[in-house]
Parts: sequence; structure tokens; C-alpha cells
Amino acid sequence: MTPLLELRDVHYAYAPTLRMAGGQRPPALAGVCLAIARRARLAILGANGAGKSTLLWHLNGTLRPATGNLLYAGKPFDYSRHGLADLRQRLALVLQESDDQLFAGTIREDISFGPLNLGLSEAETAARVEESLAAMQLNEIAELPPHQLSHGQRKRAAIAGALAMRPELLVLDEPTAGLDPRGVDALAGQLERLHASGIAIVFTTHDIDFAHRWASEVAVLQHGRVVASGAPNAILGDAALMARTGLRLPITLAIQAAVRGSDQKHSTETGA
Amino acid sequence: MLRSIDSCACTNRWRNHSEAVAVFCSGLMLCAMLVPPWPGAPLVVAVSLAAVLAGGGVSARSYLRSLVLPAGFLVTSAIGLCFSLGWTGGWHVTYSPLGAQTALATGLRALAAISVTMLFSFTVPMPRWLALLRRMRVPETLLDLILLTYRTLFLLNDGLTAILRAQRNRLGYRTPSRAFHSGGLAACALFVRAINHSQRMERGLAARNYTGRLVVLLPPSSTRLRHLLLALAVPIFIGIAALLATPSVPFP
Repeated sequence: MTPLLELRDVHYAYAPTLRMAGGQRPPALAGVCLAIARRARLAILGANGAGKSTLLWHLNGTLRPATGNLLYAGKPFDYSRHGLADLRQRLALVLQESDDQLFAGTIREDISFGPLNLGLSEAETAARVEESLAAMQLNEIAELPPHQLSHGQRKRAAIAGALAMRPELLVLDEPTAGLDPRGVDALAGQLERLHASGIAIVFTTHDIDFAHRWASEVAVLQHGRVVASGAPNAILGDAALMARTGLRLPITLAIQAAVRGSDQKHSTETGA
Repeated sequence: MLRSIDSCACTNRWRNHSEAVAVFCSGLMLCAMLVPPWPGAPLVVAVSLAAVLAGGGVSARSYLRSLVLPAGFLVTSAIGLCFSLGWTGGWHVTYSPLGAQTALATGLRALAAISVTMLFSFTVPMPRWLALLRRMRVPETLLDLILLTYRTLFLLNDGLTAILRAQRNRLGYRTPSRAFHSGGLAACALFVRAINHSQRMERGLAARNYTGRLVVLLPPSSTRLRHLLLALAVPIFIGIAALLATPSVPFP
């Protein structure tokens, strides 16, 4: 089956800055190959500077690869104005910092921005706004300006703004950053409902436990390359891989490993 | 203060009746400017105060705290008008009864105008105000600019507060020279933040198919004709009452 989105050997390097020794900058992406299935729940992991955010900016066409290809539903990305508008309707990106996305006077107005840009009527836009507000449980604070909301509420408002575009694929950059455990749980529940409604979800994160708990597939980035991808238990349970890529084991797998190690030690001692 | 006013504007009882409040404030402002300051201005102040506290349900503490700064400017300016500078036989400052009367009249008018402005600021949320201007066909570019300024103001305010706090924690304002240096660094850091933020916001808007216009759905108005009529009647009544009372109530 054709993946919803596919990256084939994508390379990208930022322009060198003046102070950089030798004027060389390591590539941000160095041959990324990744396939995102329809109905995916994919977590992209990696240490700082691994290329996660650069990868996300490629997914919605903001950055264009130096070499390599990106395909949406089997078709190469169309970087024309029309092509990008079409892509961004299908693929919505939620930024790490909600304040970079929320610009309007109230949450309700901000959510209406995307649908109106799609050329929808005011009635259709209003319906989508109500739908998104309900999906992210924002009805009670819809008339407040973003700066009067908590970090978690702003995060939900930013997701609601993306949802109003009715995307097939929702891409989130560090969705759990800055959220307390209750906020993370609430977000997980909301993402669960969105996924159940048929939206594929891709997110980058440093929160290994969240990725292990929520994703059905993980991809590990290192030095701009996908060095491992697959089922969370197999990838995140690989202690050597985690150590090599600057990550750690999820807490549940770490406890399991510790208990296993203790059992083995005990049985060796009793055997002796 | 900025956050307090904004918060009151977004939560007060009249927040959904911006059209009526705008008409009411325009009428009161005309009264403050046109009718004789005595007894017109005190009447305008009293009505504005009653409207904002009793009508809008704004807390008196927030309102009075915000009044301190403009009232301070007003008092210092009025004091200046009460005295005149003489040159005959060397420099001297003398009290001028005529100047005092001018100061009182100007001060009353200004106080009335300030109270009306504050009534508007405390009861009309900025998004509603922008919606009003949009309905009045104010150019889109200007409205986009106002909207972005409003949003950025709070973001930069938060940024500046964090920078100043971090500098104070490391004794950045211990001596005047260090304070000068720290202030300069804070301004530079804020400038860089503002540029970076605008770049990130541009990308964020592009992700939602930004086409060059910040178009959003306008909030529906819940103002009825009776609200507008009431909003018009009160300033008319004040104007007539002030004009009728002027000859009989002596100016203090």
C-alpha cells in the first residue's frame, strides 16, 4: 500500500554562518528515508541537533531538500504556491512554541484563520471552528486572548487551529514540552481521539516515556539520518542503540530490564 | 498594568456589547470636550466611574491602580499652570489666580477625557475593538498591524520581564553603571527575540496557508437597539444637564 508520506534519501544543510570554523556546517539531514503510513502514530526521536525539527519543516514544504524526494500519497511534492497550499491543507503542522502560531485576538478567531485561508465560507468556517473547539475542549476559553491562557491551553489551541484545516496528517513538534504529567495525559487522550477519527499523527519528542506509551512506531534520528525505526518495544528497548543515540530506555522497559537482571543474578547465585 | 486592563476588558460584564459601549464612550467624550467643564466634567467622571465599576463590574482596585499614572501626569501639569515665571527684577515664580482657574478647567476636562478612555479600555476587549474597526471599513493593513502589535506587546512584555528578572538575580542593577549596561543588554536581547519571533511566526502562519492577510471570523455582536438608544441617551442627558446647570452653579 502506498504510504501517505514518504521521504527518499533527503539531504539538507543550512547555510554556514560567518563565525563557523572553515565555513562548513554539518548537514542537518543526511539521507533521510522514512515512510509514514495512513493512520500512523509515529514518534520521531533523537538528541538535540539530530535534525528532528528540520525534518518536520520538510514535511510541510517549508524547507526544500537539497537532494532527494518527498512524496505525498505517491506523488512528488509540488512546491508551487498552489501545490503548497494543497499540501498544507492535507498536512497540518503544530509548532513547538504555541506563541509562534497563535496571532489573533481570541482563540476562536485564531482557529478560523486556516479555514478562511482555504477559501471556505464564513458558515463553513464557523462550523469547523466549533468542531475544533469541541475536539480540544476549548469552548470555555474560546473568547480569551492567547496570552491569558496557560501553556497547556495554548498548546491545545494551536492544535485546534491545525485541526480546523481537517488534515489527513497532523505533525506536532515536541507536543509534550513544558506540560505537566496531567497535561501530558490530557494531550494523549485528545490525540487518541483524533487518531481514532482517522487522522495520522507524527510527532517529534524528547519524552521517551510518552513515545513508548503512545506511538505505534518510532524512528530514531542521529546526525540527520534515521538510524532505526520500528515497533516501540523493539527500538526503545535496545539499550545499546539508546545509549549510542544519546537517548535512554523508557522507564517501564528500564524497570523490566533491572528486574530481569536481578532475577538472573539471583538464579546464578542460587545455582552456585 | 497592561495585563490587568486587558484581563478586565476580556472578562467584564459589557464585553459582548462593544458597539453600545463605543457609542456611549463617544458621547461621553464629546461631553468632556464640548460642554462647560463645570459641572460637565465631574458629571462625566461620575458616570464613567459608575459605568466601569457598577456596570462593567470591574474591580475598583485594578481601575484605581491604572488611574495613578495618568492622574499623576495630570496633577503635575495642572500645578505648572498655576504658577507663572516672572523676569522683572530677576527670576521669580508667582501664583497666578487666572492660571489656577485655567488649570482647574483644563484639569477637569482632561480628567473627564481620561475617565472615558479608561472606561473604554476596561470594558472593550481588543478583538472586539478590532472587529468594530473592521466593520467601519478601516484599512486591513492598519488592522493587521494593530493586531500584531497587540499580540507582540504581551509576548515581548513577558520576554522583558524574564530578562530583567534574570539580570537582577545576578546583580545586574547593583550600581548605576551596571544598570545602564544591563539595560542596554536587555534592549538588545529583546530586539533579537522580537526578530526571531517574527520569523517563527511567519513560518507558523505559512503552515496555515497565510495569503498575506490576517483574516479571521468576526465575533458576533449581542448589542440590541435598546442598548444603543440607552448609550446615546445618557451622554445627551449629561450634556443638557451640564448646559442648563452652568449659569446657576458657580465655577469654584
